[in-house]
Amino acid sequence: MMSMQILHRWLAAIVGLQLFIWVATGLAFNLIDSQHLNGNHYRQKMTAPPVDTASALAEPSQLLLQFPTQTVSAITLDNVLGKALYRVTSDKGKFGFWATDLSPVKLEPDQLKQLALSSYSGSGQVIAIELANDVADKYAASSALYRVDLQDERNTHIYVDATTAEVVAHENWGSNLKQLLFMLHFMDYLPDNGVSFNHIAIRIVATIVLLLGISGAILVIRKLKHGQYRIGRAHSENNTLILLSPDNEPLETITIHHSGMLDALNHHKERIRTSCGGGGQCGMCRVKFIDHPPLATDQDRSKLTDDQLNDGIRLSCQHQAMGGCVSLVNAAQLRHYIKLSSILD
Amino acid sequence: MVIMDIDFIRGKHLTHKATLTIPTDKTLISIGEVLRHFPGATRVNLYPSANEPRYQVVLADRVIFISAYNGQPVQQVTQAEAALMVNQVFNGSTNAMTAKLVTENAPSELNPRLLPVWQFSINDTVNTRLYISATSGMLVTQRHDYWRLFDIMWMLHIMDYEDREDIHNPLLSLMSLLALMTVLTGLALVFVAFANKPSERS
Ligand code: FES
Repeated sequence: MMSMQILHRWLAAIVGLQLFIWVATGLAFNLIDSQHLNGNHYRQKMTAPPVDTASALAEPSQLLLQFPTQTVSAITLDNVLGKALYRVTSDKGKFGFWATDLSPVKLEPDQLKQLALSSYSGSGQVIAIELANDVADKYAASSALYRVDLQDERNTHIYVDATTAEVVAHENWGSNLKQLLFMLHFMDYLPDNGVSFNHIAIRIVATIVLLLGISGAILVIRKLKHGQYRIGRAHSENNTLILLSPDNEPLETITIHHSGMLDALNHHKERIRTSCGGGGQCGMCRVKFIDHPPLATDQDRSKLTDDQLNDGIRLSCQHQAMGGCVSLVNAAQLRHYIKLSSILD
Repeated sequence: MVIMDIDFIRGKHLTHKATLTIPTDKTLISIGEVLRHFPGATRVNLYPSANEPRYQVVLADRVIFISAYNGQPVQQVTQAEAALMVNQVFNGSTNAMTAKLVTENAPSELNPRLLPVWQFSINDTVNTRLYISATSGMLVTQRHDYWRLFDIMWMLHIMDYEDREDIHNPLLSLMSLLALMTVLTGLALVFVAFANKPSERS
Protein backbone atom coordinates (compact mmCIF):
# COMPACT_ATOMS: atom_id res chain seq x y z
CA MET A 1 0.00 0.00 0.00
CA MET A 2 1.10 3.49 -0.79
CA SER A 3 2.21 5.31 2.31
CA MET A 4 0.22 8.25 3.56
CA GLN A 5 3.15 10.52 2.94
CA ILE A 6 3.49 9.59 -0.72
CA LEU A 7 -0.25 9.96 -1.18
CA HIS A 8 -0.12 13.37 0.48
CA ARG A 9 2.74 14.44 -1.74
CA TRP A 10 1.06 13.36 -4.96
CA LEU A 11 -2.21 15.03 -4.02
CA ALA A 12 -0.30 18.21 -3.33
CA ALA A 13 1.47 17.98 -6.66
CA ILE A 14 -1.83 17.60 -8.50
CA VAL A 15 -3.84 20.35 -6.85
CA GLY A 16 -1.21 22.49 -5.16
CA LEU A 17 -1.30 25.20 -7.77
CA GLN A 18 -5.08 25.58 -7.70
CA LEU A 19 -5.04 25.53 -3.91
CA PHE A 20 -2.56 28.37 -4.06
CA ILE A 21 -4.86 30.25 -6.45
CA TRP A 22 -7.82 29.71 -4.14
CA VAL A 23 -6.04 31.02 -1.09
CA ALA A 24 -4.40 33.91 -2.92
CA THR A 25 -7.60 35.11 -4.60
CA GLY A 26 -9.54 34.61 -1.37
CA LEU A 27 -7.01 36.76 0.43
CA ALA A 28 -7.29 39.34 -2.35
CA PHE A 29 -11.07 39.51 -1.88
CA ASN A 30 -10.52 39.86 1.83
CA LEU A 31 -7.88 42.57 1.66
CA ILE A 32 -8.93 44.67 -1.31
CA ASP A 33 -11.43 47.35 -0.38
CA SER A 34 -14.75 46.61 -2.13
CA GLN A 35 -14.74 50.15 -3.47
CA HIS A 36 -11.79 49.33 -5.70
CA LEU A 37 -13.62 46.39 -7.25
CA ASN A 38 -16.87 48.24 -7.66
CA GLY A 39 -18.04 48.57 -11.26
CA ASN A 40 -20.63 51.13 -10.19
CA HIS A 41 -18.13 53.65 -8.91
CA TYR A 42 -19.53 56.36 -11.19
CA ARG A 43 -23.04 55.02 -11.46
CA GLN A 44 -25.79 57.33 -10.38
CA LYS A 45 -29.48 56.87 -10.03
CA MET A 46 -31.09 58.20 -13.16
CA THR A 47 -33.35 61.11 -12.36
CA ALA A 48 -36.75 60.06 -13.56
CA PRO A 49 -39.08 62.91 -14.49
CA PRO A 50 -42.79 62.09 -14.47
CA VAL A 51 -43.92 60.16 -17.52
CA ASP A 52 -44.66 62.55 -20.35
CA THR A 53 -48.40 62.60 -21.03
CA ALA A 54 -48.49 65.39 -23.59
CA SER A 55 -49.20 62.98 -26.42
CA ALA A 56 -51.69 60.14 -25.95
CA LEU A 57 -50.18 56.80 -25.00
CA ALA A 58 -51.17 53.47 -26.46
CA GLU A 59 -52.73 51.02 -24.00
CA PRO A 60 -50.68 48.13 -22.62
CA SER A 61 -53.49 45.78 -23.64
CA GLN A 62 -52.72 46.62 -27.28
CA LEU A 63 -49.18 45.47 -26.63
CA LEU A 64 -50.44 42.21 -25.16
CA LEU A 65 -52.04 41.46 -28.51
CA GLN A 66 -48.57 41.45 -30.03
CA PHE A 67 -47.54 38.60 -27.72
CA PRO A 68 -50.34 36.09 -28.18
CA THR A 69 -48.22 32.99 -27.61
CA GLN A 70 -45.96 34.21 -24.84
CA THR A 71 -46.60 34.57 -21.15
CA VAL A 72 -46.18 38.24 -20.36
CA SER A 73 -45.27 38.74 -16.73
CA ALA A 74 -45.00 42.52 -16.76
CA ILE A 75 -45.43 45.62 -18.88
CA THR A 76 -43.62 48.65 -17.56
CA LEU A 77 -44.17 52.21 -18.64
CA ASP A 78 -41.00 54.20 -18.25
CA ASN A 79 -39.59 57.53 -19.26
CA VAL A 80 -36.38 57.40 -21.26
CA LEU A 81 -34.70 60.44 -22.83
CA GLY A 82 -37.90 62.37 -22.32
CA LYS A 83 -40.03 59.86 -24.19
CA ALA A 84 -42.46 57.36 -22.73
CA LEU A 85 -41.78 53.72 -23.54
CA TYR A 86 -43.10 50.30 -22.61
CA ARG A 87 -40.92 47.38 -21.67
CA VAL A 88 -42.57 44.00 -22.06
CA THR A 89 -41.16 41.15 -19.97
CA SER A 90 -42.13 37.79 -21.41
CA ASP A 91 -40.75 34.28 -21.20
CA LYS A 92 -38.81 35.07 -24.39
CA GLY A 93 -37.06 38.12 -23.00
CA LYS A 94 -37.54 41.84 -22.67
CA PHE A 95 -38.72 44.12 -25.50
CA GLY A 96 -39.05 47.88 -25.73
CA PHE A 97 -41.76 49.87 -27.56
CA TRP A 98 -42.28 53.61 -27.78
CA ALA A 99 -45.48 54.25 -25.88
CA THR A 100 -47.07 56.64 -28.36
CA ASP A 101 -47.09 54.44 -31.47
CA LEU A 102 -45.84 51.09 -30.14
CA SER A 103 -42.97 51.05 -32.64
CA PRO A 104 -40.08 48.85 -31.45
CA VAL A 105 -37.31 50.72 -29.68
CA LYS A 106 -33.94 50.81 -31.39
CA LEU A 107 -31.71 53.48 -29.92
CA GLU A 108 -29.34 55.40 -32.20
CA PRO A 109 -25.70 55.91 -31.15
CA ASP A 110 -26.49 59.39 -30.01
CA GLN A 111 -29.31 58.18 -27.79
CA LEU A 112 -27.15 55.36 -26.44
CA LYS A 113 -24.56 57.94 -25.48
CA GLN A 114 -27.12 60.20 -23.85
CA LEU A 115 -28.66 57.34 -21.89
CA ALA A 116 -25.27 56.08 -20.76
CA LEU A 117 -24.23 59.54 -19.61
CA SER A 118 -27.43 60.02 -17.64
CA SER A 119 -26.39 57.06 -15.48
CA TYR A 120 -22.83 58.34 -15.08
CA SER A 121 -21.60 60.73 -12.40
CA GLY A 122 -17.98 60.99 -13.55
CA SER A 123 -16.53 63.62 -15.82
CA GLY A 124 -15.07 61.41 -18.57
CA GLN A 125 -15.91 61.90 -22.24
CA VAL A 126 -17.41 59.16 -24.39
CA ILE A 127 -14.64 57.88 -26.65
CA ALA A 128 -16.30 54.92 -28.35
CA ILE A 129 -19.61 53.13 -28.81
CA GLU A 130 -19.42 49.56 -29.99
CA LEU A 131 -21.75 46.62 -30.42
CA ALA A 132 -21.03 44.15 -27.63
CA ASN A 133 -23.38 41.30 -28.37
CA ASP A 134 -20.63 38.79 -27.52
CA VAL A 135 -21.31 39.43 -23.85
CA ALA A 136 -25.09 39.81 -24.17
CA ASP A 137 -25.71 36.45 -22.46
CA LYS A 138 -23.64 37.43 -19.46
CA TYR A 139 -25.89 40.43 -18.83
CA ALA A 140 -29.10 38.71 -19.94
CA ALA A 141 -29.41 41.42 -22.56
CA SER A 142 -30.61 41.35 -26.16
CA SER A 143 -28.24 41.02 -29.09
CA ALA A 144 -28.41 44.80 -29.51
CA LEU A 145 -26.17 45.36 -26.50
CA TYR A 146 -23.73 48.25 -26.88
CA ARG A 147 -20.68 49.22 -24.93
CA VAL A 148 -20.11 52.91 -24.34
CA ASP A 149 -16.48 53.62 -23.41
CA LEU A 150 -15.61 56.59 -21.27
CA GLN A 151 -12.30 58.25 -20.83
CA ASP A 152 -11.75 58.38 -17.09
CA GLU A 153 -9.15 57.11 -14.69
CA ARG A 154 -11.19 53.98 -14.06
CA ASN A 155 -11.71 53.09 -17.68
CA THR A 156 -15.44 53.02 -17.16
CA HIS A 157 -17.55 51.33 -19.81
CA ILE A 158 -21.30 51.32 -19.74
CA TYR A 159 -23.42 48.62 -21.31
CA VAL A 160 -26.69 49.79 -22.83
CA ASP A 161 -29.34 47.62 -24.44
CA ALA A 162 -30.60 49.43 -27.55
CA THR A 163 -33.92 47.55 -27.75
CA THR A 164 -35.00 47.96 -24.13
CA ALA A 165 -33.32 51.34 -23.60
CA GLU A 166 -31.87 50.12 -20.34
CA VAL A 167 -28.47 50.73 -18.81
CA VAL A 168 -27.51 47.14 -18.19
CA ALA A 169 -24.22 47.50 -16.33
CA HIS A 170 -21.27 49.68 -15.48
CA GLU A 171 -17.82 48.13 -15.59
CA ASN A 172 -14.32 49.49 -15.01
CA TRP A 173 -10.86 48.13 -14.39
CA GLY A 174 -11.81 47.38 -10.81
CA SER A 175 -14.79 45.24 -11.74
CA ASN A 176 -12.72 43.61 -14.48
CA LEU A 177 -10.15 42.67 -11.86
CA LYS A 178 -12.95 41.35 -9.69
CA GLN A 179 -14.19 39.18 -12.53
CA LEU A 180 -10.68 37.89 -13.10
CA LEU A 181 -10.39 37.02 -9.40
CA PHE A 182 -13.75 35.26 -9.53
CA MET A 183 -12.71 33.37 -12.64
CA LEU A 184 -9.63 32.09 -10.79
CA HIS A 185 -11.49 31.46 -7.54
CA PHE A 186 -14.25 29.53 -9.31
CA MET A 187 -11.87 27.83 -11.77
CA ASP A 188 -14.10 29.26 -14.44
CA TYR A 189 -11.41 29.11 -17.07
CA LEU A 190 -13.75 28.70 -20.01
CA PRO A 191 -14.64 32.24 -20.97
CA ASP A 192 -18.10 33.73 -21.25
CA ASN A 193 -20.18 31.08 -19.58
CA GLY A 194 -21.12 33.37 -16.76
CA VAL A 195 -19.75 32.86 -13.29
CA SER A 196 -20.32 29.34 -12.07
CA PHE A 197 -18.78 27.28 -9.29
CA ASN A 198 -20.79 24.11 -9.86
CA HIS A 199 -18.83 22.53 -12.67
CA ILE A 200 -17.16 19.16 -12.71
CA ALA A 201 -13.55 20.39 -12.74
CA ILE A 202 -13.89 22.38 -9.54
CA ARG A 203 -15.73 19.49 -7.87
CA ILE A 204 -12.87 17.12 -8.66
CA VAL A 205 -10.17 19.51 -7.51
CA ALA A 206 -12.08 20.42 -4.36
CA THR A 207 -12.45 16.73 -3.50
CA ILE A 208 -8.73 16.14 -3.99
CA VAL A 209 -7.93 19.15 -1.81
CA LEU A 210 -10.18 17.69 0.86
CA LEU A 211 -8.24 14.41 0.67
CA LEU A 212 -5.00 16.40 0.81
CA GLY A 213 -6.22 18.04 4.01
CA ILE A 214 -7.30 14.75 5.54
CA SER A 215 -4.05 12.95 4.71
CA GLY A 216 -2.08 15.91 6.05
CA ALA A 217 -4.08 15.90 9.26
CA ILE A 218 -3.49 12.17 9.67
CA LEU A 219 0.25 12.67 9.23
CA VAL A 220 0.32 15.46 11.79
CA ILE A 221 -1.67 13.44 14.31
CA ARG A 222 0.64 10.45 13.86
CA LYS A 223 3.73 12.56 14.38
CA LEU A 224 2.21 14.21 17.42
CA LYS A 225 1.41 10.83 18.90
CA HIS A 226 4.97 9.69 18.47
CA GLY A 227 6.32 12.86 20.00
CA GLN A 228 8.09 13.79 16.82
CA TYR A 229 7.40 17.48 17.01
CA ARG A 230 10.01 19.43 18.82
CA ILE A 231 10.03 23.13 19.27
CA GLY A 232 13.24 24.88 18.41
CA ARG A 233 16.54 23.37 17.48
CA ALA A 234 17.89 20.58 19.59
CA HIS A 235 20.12 22.11 22.15
CA SER A 236 23.74 21.28 21.68
CA GLU A 237 26.96 23.04 22.47
CA ASN A 238 28.73 20.90 19.99
CA ASN A 239 28.54 22.37 16.54
CA THR A 240 30.71 19.96 14.59
CA LEU A 241 30.00 16.65 12.99
CA ILE A 242 32.67 14.05 12.55
CA LEU A 243 31.95 11.82 9.61
CA LEU A 244 33.41 8.34 9.84
CA SER A 245 33.75 5.54 7.31
CA PRO A 246 31.88 2.28 7.90
CA ASP A 247 35.04 1.08 9.62
CA ASN A 248 35.06 4.10 11.90
CA GLU A 249 37.99 5.82 10.24
CA PRO A 250 37.57 9.60 10.34
CA LEU A 251 36.76 11.05 6.93
CA GLU A 252 35.90 14.65 7.52
CA THR A 253 34.85 17.19 10.10
CA ILE A 254 31.84 19.23 9.13
CA THR A 255 30.52 22.37 10.80
CA ILE A 256 26.77 22.26 11.16
CA HIS A 257 25.03 24.86 9.01
CA HIS A 258 21.56 23.32 8.71
CA SER A 259 18.87 22.19 11.06
CA GLY A 260 18.35 18.81 9.38
CA MET A 261 20.99 16.09 9.75
CA LEU A 262 21.01 15.17 6.05
CA ASP A 263 21.32 18.81 5.04
CA ALA A 264 24.11 19.29 7.55
CA LEU A 265 25.96 16.27 6.21
CA ASN A 266 25.49 17.41 2.62
CA HIS A 267 26.60 20.98 3.25
CA HIS A 268 28.14 22.29 0.01
CA LYS A 269 28.43 18.84 -1.56
CA GLU A 270 26.39 15.70 -1.79
CA ARG A 271 28.37 13.46 0.49
CA ILE A 272 25.41 11.16 0.88
CA ARG A 273 23.39 10.45 -2.21
CA THR A 274 19.62 10.06 -1.95
CA SER A 275 16.84 9.62 -4.38
CA CYS A 276 13.88 10.98 -2.45
CA GLY A 277 15.57 14.19 -1.43
CA GLY A 278 14.82 13.94 2.24
CA GLY A 279 11.34 12.53 2.09
CA GLY A 280 12.04 9.46 4.19
CA GLN A 281 11.18 7.17 1.30
CA CYS A 282 14.40 5.97 -0.33
CA GLY A 283 16.32 4.94 2.75
CA MET A 284 19.59 5.94 1.12
CA CYS A 285 20.41 8.62 3.65
CA ARG A 286 20.88 6.14 6.48
CA VAL A 287 23.82 6.77 8.79
CA LYS A 288 24.88 5.47 12.15
CA PHE A 289 24.66 7.82 15.10
CA ILE A 290 27.58 6.77 17.25
CA ASP A 291 26.96 8.73 20.44
CA HIS A 292 23.31 9.31 21.17
CA PRO A 293 21.01 7.93 18.49
CA PRO A 294 17.77 9.93 18.45
CA LEU A 295 14.36 8.34 18.93
CA ALA A 296 13.40 6.33 15.84
CA THR A 297 10.62 7.81 13.72
CA ASP A 298 7.96 6.01 11.68
CA GLN A 299 10.11 6.43 8.61
CA ASP A 300 13.09 4.91 10.40
CA ARG A 301 11.01 1.95 11.45
CA SER A 302 9.60 1.38 7.99
CA LYS A 303 13.01 1.45 6.27
CA LEU A 304 15.29 -0.14 8.86
CA THR A 305 15.33 -3.44 10.71
CA ASP A 306 15.19 -3.65 14.47
CA ASP A 307 18.85 -4.65 14.55
CA GLN A 308 19.83 -1.62 12.53
CA LEU A 309 17.75 0.61 14.78
CA ASN A 310 19.43 -0.87 17.85
CA ASP A 311 22.79 -0.21 16.25
CA GLY A 312 21.92 3.48 16.10
CA ILE A 313 21.25 3.55 12.38
CA ARG A 314 18.72 6.20 11.36
CA LEU A 315 17.54 7.98 8.25
CA SER A 316 19.49 11.20 8.53
CA CYS A 317 16.80 13.12 6.65
CA GLN A 318 14.36 12.49 9.47
CA HIS A 319 16.44 13.91 12.26
CA GLN A 320 17.78 17.17 13.46
CA ALA A 321 21.44 17.96 13.10
CA MET A 322 23.48 17.50 16.23
CA GLY A 323 27.17 17.49 16.89
CA GLY A 324 29.06 14.25 17.37
CA CYS A 325 30.23 11.22 15.42
CA VAL A 326 28.25 9.80 12.58
CA SER A 327 29.40 6.98 10.34
CA LEU A 328 28.52 5.82 6.89
CA VAL A 329 26.98 2.37 6.95
CA ASN A 330 27.94 0.62 3.73
CA ALA A 331 30.56 0.32 1.03
CA ALA A 332 28.42 2.00 -1.61
CA GLN A 333 28.13 5.15 0.49
CA LEU A 334 31.88 5.12 1.03
CA ARG A 335 32.58 4.65 -2.70
CA HIS A 336 30.37 7.60 -3.51
CA TYR A 337 32.03 9.69 -0.83
CA ILE A 338 35.53 8.90 -2.06
CA LYS A 339 34.66 9.51 -5.67
CA LEU A 340 33.07 12.83 -4.83
CA SER A 341 36.05 13.92 -2.76
CA SER A 342 38.50 13.00 -5.48
CA ILE A 343 36.61 15.01 -8.07
CA LEU A 344 36.19 18.06 -5.95
CA ASP A 345 39.45 18.23 -4.08
CA MET B 1 -20.26 24.23 -1.61
CA VAL B 2 -19.23 23.37 -5.15
CA ILE B 3 -21.18 20.12 -4.94
CA MET B 4 -24.45 21.83 -4.07
CA ASP B 5 -25.96 23.29 -7.21
CA ILE B 6 -26.59 26.97 -6.62
CA ASP B 7 -29.95 27.03 -8.41
CA PHE B 8 -31.09 24.19 -6.17
CA ILE B 9 -29.85 26.08 -3.11
CA ARG B 10 -31.79 29.15 -4.21
CA GLY B 11 -34.85 26.92 -4.45
CA LYS B 12 -35.46 27.53 -8.15
CA HIS B 13 -37.00 24.08 -8.36
CA LEU B 14 -39.56 24.84 -5.66
CA THR B 15 -41.58 27.30 -7.66
CA HIS B 16 -42.55 28.11 -11.21
CA LYS B 17 -43.37 31.67 -12.06
CA ALA B 18 -43.71 31.08 -15.78
CA THR B 19 -47.45 30.51 -15.60
CA LEU B 20 -48.15 34.00 -14.31
CA THR B 21 -49.38 36.08 -17.19
CA ILE B 22 -51.40 39.24 -17.57
CA PRO B 23 -54.95 38.20 -18.43
CA THR B 24 -56.48 39.64 -21.59
CA ASP B 25 -60.12 38.68 -20.98
CA LYS B 26 -61.38 41.89 -19.35
CA THR B 27 -60.62 45.47 -20.27
CA LEU B 28 -58.13 47.20 -18.04
CA ILE B 29 -58.42 50.77 -16.95
CA SER B 30 -56.55 53.04 -19.29
CA ILE B 31 -52.96 53.96 -18.59
CA GLY B 32 -53.84 57.55 -19.44
CA GLU B 33 -56.35 57.52 -16.62
CA VAL B 34 -53.77 56.19 -14.18
CA LEU B 35 -51.36 58.94 -15.16
CA ARG B 36 -54.06 61.59 -14.87
CA HIS B 37 -54.73 60.35 -11.37
CA PHE B 38 -51.05 60.24 -10.43
CA PRO B 39 -49.45 63.01 -12.47
CA GLY B 40 -46.12 62.60 -10.69
CA ALA B 41 -45.71 58.95 -11.70
CA THR B 42 -42.19 58.24 -12.93
CA ARG B 43 -42.88 54.63 -13.76
CA VAL B 44 -45.96 52.42 -14.03
CA ASN B 45 -45.75 48.67 -13.99
CA LEU B 46 -48.61 46.39 -15.04
CA TYR B 47 -48.32 42.89 -13.60
CA PRO B 48 -50.51 39.88 -12.79
CA SER B 49 -51.17 39.33 -9.10
CA ALA B 50 -52.97 36.22 -7.90
CA ASN B 51 -56.35 37.99 -7.91
CA GLU B 52 -56.22 40.45 -10.76
CA PRO B 53 -53.84 42.46 -12.90
CA ARG B 54 -52.47 45.47 -11.02
CA TYR B 55 -50.70 48.71 -11.71
CA GLN B 56 -47.71 49.48 -9.57
CA VAL B 57 -47.31 53.25 -9.68
CA VAL B 58 -43.91 54.64 -8.71
CA LEU B 59 -44.12 58.18 -7.38
CA ALA B 60 -41.26 60.36 -6.26
CA ASP B 61 -41.71 59.43 -2.60
CA ARG B 62 -43.74 56.21 -2.53
CA VAL B 63 -45.08 53.26 -4.45
CA ILE B 64 -48.80 52.61 -4.85
CA PHE B 65 -50.63 49.49 -6.01
CA ILE B 66 -54.01 49.70 -7.69
CA SER B 67 -56.28 47.20 -9.32
CA ALA B 68 -56.06 47.38 -13.11
CA TYR B 69 -59.73 46.36 -13.31
CA ASN B 70 -61.26 49.14 -11.23
CA GLY B 71 -58.47 51.41 -10.02
CA GLN B 72 -59.08 50.54 -6.35
CA PRO B 73 -55.89 50.96 -4.29
CA VAL B 74 -54.56 47.83 -2.60
CA GLN B 75 -53.22 48.78 0.82
CA GLN B 76 -52.14 45.38 1.90
CA VAL B 77 -52.37 41.99 0.27
CA THR B 78 -54.71 39.72 2.20
CA GLN B 79 -53.67 36.33 3.51
CA ALA B 80 -56.17 34.70 1.18
CA GLU B 81 -54.63 36.35 -1.85
CA ALA B 82 -51.08 35.56 -0.78
CA ALA B 83 -52.09 31.94 -0.21
CA LEU B 84 -53.58 31.88 -3.68
CA MET B 85 -50.23 33.02 -5.06
CA VAL B 86 -48.44 30.27 -3.14
CA ASN B 87 -50.80 27.71 -4.59
CA GLN B 88 -50.18 29.05 -8.06
CA VAL B 89 -46.40 28.99 -7.94
CA PHE B 90 -45.41 26.27 -5.47
CA ASN B 91 -44.47 22.88 -6.89
CA GLY B 92 -45.88 20.67 -4.20
CA SER B 93 -48.60 20.18 -1.67
CA THR B 94 -49.61 23.11 0.50
CA ASN B 95 -51.92 21.10 2.77
CA ALA B 96 -49.94 21.64 5.96
CA MET B 97 -49.12 25.25 5.18
CA THR B 98 -49.21 27.96 7.86
CA ALA B 99 -49.03 31.72 7.32
CA LYS B 100 -47.64 34.66 9.21
CA LEU B 101 -47.47 38.35 8.36
CA VAL B 102 -44.01 39.78 8.96
CA THR B 103 -43.81 43.57 9.04
CA GLU B 104 -40.68 44.07 11.13
CA ASN B 105 -37.71 42.05 12.37
CA ALA B 106 -37.13 40.07 9.24
CA PRO B 107 -35.94 36.50 9.87
CA SER B 108 -32.22 36.12 9.20
CA GLU B 109 -32.96 34.25 6.00
CA LEU B 110 -34.79 37.22 4.50
CA ASN B 111 -33.47 40.55 3.29
CA PRO B 112 -35.18 43.17 5.51
CA ARG B 113 -35.71 45.38 2.47
CA LEU B 114 -38.34 42.92 1.25
CA LEU B 115 -40.64 43.61 4.21
CA PRO B 116 -43.56 43.51 4.71
CA VAL B 117 -44.14 39.94 3.63
CA TRP B 118 -46.43 37.01 4.16
CA GLN B 119 -44.34 34.10 5.35
CA PHE B 120 -45.78 30.74 4.35
CA SER B 121 -44.31 27.68 6.06
CA ILE B 122 -45.03 24.67 3.91
CA ASN B 123 -44.07 22.33 6.80
CA ASP B 124 -42.51 19.74 4.52
CA THR B 125 -39.38 17.68 5.19
CA VAL B 126 -36.99 20.48 4.21
CA ASN B 127 -38.97 23.23 5.99
CA THR B 128 -39.70 25.18 2.86
CA ARG B 129 -40.83 28.74 3.36
CA LEU B 130 -42.25 30.99 0.67
CA TYR B 131 -42.25 34.74 1.07
CA ILE B 132 -44.98 36.73 -0.65
CA SER B 133 -44.69 40.50 -0.67
CA ALA B 134 -47.55 42.01 1.32
CA THR B 135 -47.50 45.06 -0.94
CA SER B 136 -47.28 43.61 -4.45
CA GLY B 137 -48.59 40.13 -3.75
CA MET B 138 -45.73 38.62 -5.73
CA LEU B 139 -43.38 35.84 -4.67
CA VAL B 140 -40.17 37.45 -3.41
CA THR B 141 -38.15 34.43 -2.43
CA GLN B 142 -38.14 30.86 -1.17
CA ARG B 143 -35.99 29.17 1.45
CA HIS B 144 -35.41 25.56 2.45
CA ASP B 145 -33.06 23.68 4.77
CA TYR B 146 -30.40 23.28 2.10
CA TRP B 147 -30.30 27.03 1.71
CA ARG B 148 -29.85 27.32 5.47
CA LEU B 149 -27.10 24.69 5.38
CA PHE B 150 -25.37 26.57 2.57
CA ASP B 151 -25.66 29.75 4.59
CA ILE B 152 -23.81 28.08 7.47
CA MET B 153 -21.11 26.91 5.08
CA TRP B 154 -20.85 30.44 3.76
CA MET B 155 -20.32 31.61 7.32
CA LEU B 156 -17.50 29.09 7.73
CA HIS B 157 -16.12 30.06 4.33
CA ILE B 158 -15.76 33.76 5.14
CA MET B 159 -15.20 33.27 8.89
CA ASP B 160 -17.68 35.97 9.84
CA TYR B 161 -19.41 34.02 12.57
CA GLU B 162 -21.80 36.79 13.51
CA ASP B 163 -23.48 38.45 10.57
CA ARG B 164 -22.20 36.10 7.86
CA GLU B 165 -21.61 38.94 5.46
CA ASP B 166 -18.31 40.73 6.13
CA ILE B 167 -15.65 39.20 3.91
CA HIS B 168 -13.13 41.82 5.06
CA ASN B 169 -12.88 40.66 8.66
CA PRO B 170 -9.40 40.50 10.26
CA LEU B 171 -9.75 36.89 11.38
CA LEU B 172 -10.13 35.85 7.77
CA SER B 173 -7.14 38.01 6.81
CA LEU B 174 -4.97 36.34 9.42
CA MET B 175 -6.08 32.81 8.55
CA SER B 176 -5.75 33.41 4.82
CA LEU B 177 -2.25 34.75 5.27
CA LEU B 178 -1.25 31.72 7.31
CA ALA B 179 -2.88 29.47 4.75
CA LEU B 180 -1.03 31.22 1.98
CA MET B 181 2.29 30.68 3.70
CA THR B 182 1.37 27.05 4.35
CA VAL B 183 0.53 26.49 0.72
CA LEU B 184 3.69 28.21 -0.50
CA THR B 185 5.96 26.22 1.80
CA GLY B 186 4.00 23.09 0.92
CA LEU B 187 4.48 23.76 -2.78
CA ALA B 188 8.19 24.30 -2.18
CA LEU B 189 8.39 20.96 -0.38
CA VAL B 190 6.58 19.21 -3.22
CA PHE B 191 8.97 20.80 -5.64
CA VAL B 192 11.99 19.71 -3.63
CA ALA B 193 10.66 16.20 -3.21
CA PHE B 194 10.02 15.70 -6.92
CA ALA B 195 12.99 17.65 -8.23
CA ASN B 196 15.59 15.90 -6.07
CA LYS B 197 15.70 12.82 -8.25
CA PRO B 198 18.89 10.74 -7.97
CA SER B 199 21.97 12.41 -9.31
CA GLU B 200 23.60 10.58 -12.18
CA ARG B 201 24.71 7.09 -11.47
CA SER B 202 28.41 6.65 -11.16
S1 FES C 1 16.66 10.91 1.87
FE1 FES C 1 15.52 9.30 1.18
S2 FES C 1 15.07 8.35 3.02
FE2 FES C 1 16.21 9.98 3.70
